[in-house]
Amino acid sequence: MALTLLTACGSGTGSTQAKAGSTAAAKAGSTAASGGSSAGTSGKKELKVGIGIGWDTLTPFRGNIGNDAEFAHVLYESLAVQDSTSKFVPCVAKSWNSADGGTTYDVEIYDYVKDSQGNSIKASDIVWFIQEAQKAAQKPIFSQVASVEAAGDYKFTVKMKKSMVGSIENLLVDTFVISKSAYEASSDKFASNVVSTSPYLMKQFVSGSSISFEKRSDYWQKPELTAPTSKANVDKITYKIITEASQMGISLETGDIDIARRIDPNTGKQFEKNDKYKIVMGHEPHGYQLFFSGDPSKAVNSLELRQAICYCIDSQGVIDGALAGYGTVMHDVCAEGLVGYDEAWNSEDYYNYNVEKAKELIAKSGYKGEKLSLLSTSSTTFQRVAQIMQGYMQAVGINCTLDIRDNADYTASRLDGKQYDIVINHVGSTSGYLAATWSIRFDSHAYNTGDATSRHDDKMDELLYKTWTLNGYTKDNINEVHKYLKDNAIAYGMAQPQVMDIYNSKIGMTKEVLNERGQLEITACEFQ
Amino acid sequence: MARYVVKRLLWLIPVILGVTVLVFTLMSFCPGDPAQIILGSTATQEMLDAKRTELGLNQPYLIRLGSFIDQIFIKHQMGNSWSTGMSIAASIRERMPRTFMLTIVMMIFSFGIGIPLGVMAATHQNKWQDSVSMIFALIGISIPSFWLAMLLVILFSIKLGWLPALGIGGIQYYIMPALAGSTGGIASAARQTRSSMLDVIRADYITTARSKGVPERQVIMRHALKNALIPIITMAGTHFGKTLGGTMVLETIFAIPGMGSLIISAVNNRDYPVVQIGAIYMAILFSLCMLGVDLLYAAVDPRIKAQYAGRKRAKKNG
Repeated sequence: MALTLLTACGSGTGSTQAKAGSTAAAKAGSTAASGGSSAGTSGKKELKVGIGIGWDTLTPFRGNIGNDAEFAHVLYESLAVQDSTSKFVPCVAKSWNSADGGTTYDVEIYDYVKDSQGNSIKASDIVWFIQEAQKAAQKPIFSQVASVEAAGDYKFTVKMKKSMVGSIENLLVDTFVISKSAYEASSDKFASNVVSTSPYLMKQFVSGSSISFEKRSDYWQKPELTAPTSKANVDKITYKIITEASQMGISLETGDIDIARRIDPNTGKQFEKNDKYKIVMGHEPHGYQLFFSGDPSKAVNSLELRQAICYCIDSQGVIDGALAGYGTVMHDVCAEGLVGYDEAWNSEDYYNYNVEKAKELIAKSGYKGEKLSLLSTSSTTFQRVAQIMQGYMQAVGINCTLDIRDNADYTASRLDGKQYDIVINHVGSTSGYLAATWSIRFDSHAYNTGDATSRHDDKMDELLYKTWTLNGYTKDNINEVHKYLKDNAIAYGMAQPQVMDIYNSKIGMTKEVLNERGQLEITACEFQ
Repeated sequence: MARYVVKRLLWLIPVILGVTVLVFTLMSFCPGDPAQIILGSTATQEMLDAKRTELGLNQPYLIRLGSFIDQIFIKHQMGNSWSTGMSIAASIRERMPRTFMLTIVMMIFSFGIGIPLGVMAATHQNKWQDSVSMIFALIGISIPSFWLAMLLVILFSIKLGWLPALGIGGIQYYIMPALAGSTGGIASAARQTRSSMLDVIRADYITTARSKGVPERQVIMRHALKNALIPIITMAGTHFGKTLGGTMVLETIFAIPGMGSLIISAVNNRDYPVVQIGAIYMAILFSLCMLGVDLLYAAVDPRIKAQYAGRKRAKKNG
């Protein structure tokens, strides 16, 4: 009791803080931070950043677990990166093009790339990496490569197994640039100490706890050719892994960290009215979507029932109830920001909340009160979303029960449409293209049982395959898929969560540089 | 005595084998697909099938169990984590000392505070000292450690700035986690000590010692407490095991990368080798701890020491 009383004292906050123009910033790519002195590019000496995801090992041959760790691009460079407008721009690769419509690509790398030990990077190093990654079989993109071979010191040719828009970009982003000789000379194969071409040198790594970097003085790339999001304006940066959300907030308050990355909004909102801190609102690349089982024996096989469920859910209510108000309503199954997303969809009627319409459709569907099971993973936010959805469905007379499973069980079950009627998912795209997300969800030939919900839909396949090729990835074809998904209520996008990056004003950031998700690209930001 | 120790060490073998089979079986029949988790949502059926074959998941249970036992106990190869690719031996070597350190500090708090509390309660039975101690014990058992952890952080890190809120480093990083995790142990130790002491305090030899004019402090510490220690040592042994295996919540809150978080993450990712080998390590540690408890009995009570050596002498003397 004494502890509670002591801790309750003196917890006031500062005056109102206007949020930096985060929505505009997400579109523009960078914004001048308020209250700073004249903009400059001299780096801040040292920054400590709190992050939620860490790596147990620094090996470059890794799977998708922890793939979006914030320090990944500081540790290793890739052949290409995405800029703040989601466009793929060169990094170590100078250019890439396809002469046969998207199956075979010729890639050229810069001829002056060097790692921190002075090793020159050649095309043979890249070819070796891709082949080793194929053997490791951890990341699916590498198994889509049919062959890769060097075509000169600084050129290589990669042939994909099939022409799929976005696959080369996915490959370029996931290919880390390292020297084969440096890797083979490493006693632990880069598990705890890395030699890379990055502008930063790794200084210290404590598995599961922290990783520190110092800026190199001999970075190979010319400043004018460095992508804005890849610039190195921080002299020393330490990433501290803090998995507990409230501890992230506490670390920011105590000064243990200067910047909290992707902090949970429930924790981050306490900093909103505090002018000692600045908040940058970004968005997750995924949304919360619901997918209907494609198994023909299920009640949701009825189009009217599916549409009724879409109409009875208030997406803004889901955002307010499950995401503490920090999110945007979706207008497609896929999240906004993916390449190919048409902003015109945002002004369409996308099953806007309408209880009367829902009841009308339920009556037409012949639904007799059967129990519908809603599959969800056991993570806190998913459960909240599921509970809210259940409430909305029960309000219109749909008998919905929750089937909550731990992540591993959920991952194994979600592809089997026999095990549920509706599944909540959190789907995005590693390549940044709509077609890539669609292909793993709606292609009837993707899995033994059909698509990702055991659906077999020839018309869907026909429309999907048209968008896969470079020439076929057109606005019209994309719109056809969007319309078919919407009209047939095959899946429904509800809410795209926002995330907060919060930094202490004392660090003197004069220019915020944002990535394609509207989140801070810390090393590229400018400081006093 | 040496023979007793060797016999107990030999008993470790069937215990460890039993733990291995049990954990392997439980993980094998847990729902969830490691291949799907490793490869993620972009994996096609072909990739999933290939991964399952690579991990040996398509083989029958007995063959997989046999391979695992062969790999661990005969070839002494722990292999790599399925989800991170990191050497399991290296992971455990790095993380076990932190969990062990946290456990030791928690034990020191639990028994360093719990035993004196219990002695005070027993020697002042039915007085205010007894009531205060038992109320403290009740509160200690009732408070959730994660809630107390956050309160301690707010007080000692934010308000007072005395201790770091999280992370690893020197002993100061372990004080708050250990304090948060030891309230239950303090409470249990206090109650057990009180109960044992009350049994002993009423014994004739205590009355005799007092009649002989031995100072009360000596009566309590040298005569009463020493004889009351056996159940306390037993409790300490089982508490050590529980604490060693139950640090996951505190490790998450205080960002301590220890064995608890490693195993929980491995369970969630269905990383079978890490879970199995982690459980084996914990079982070995716990078994050694119980051996230590038995040896402590002998150190505290000469009758038990004689018993350990007694069977051999009895055989000798016919």
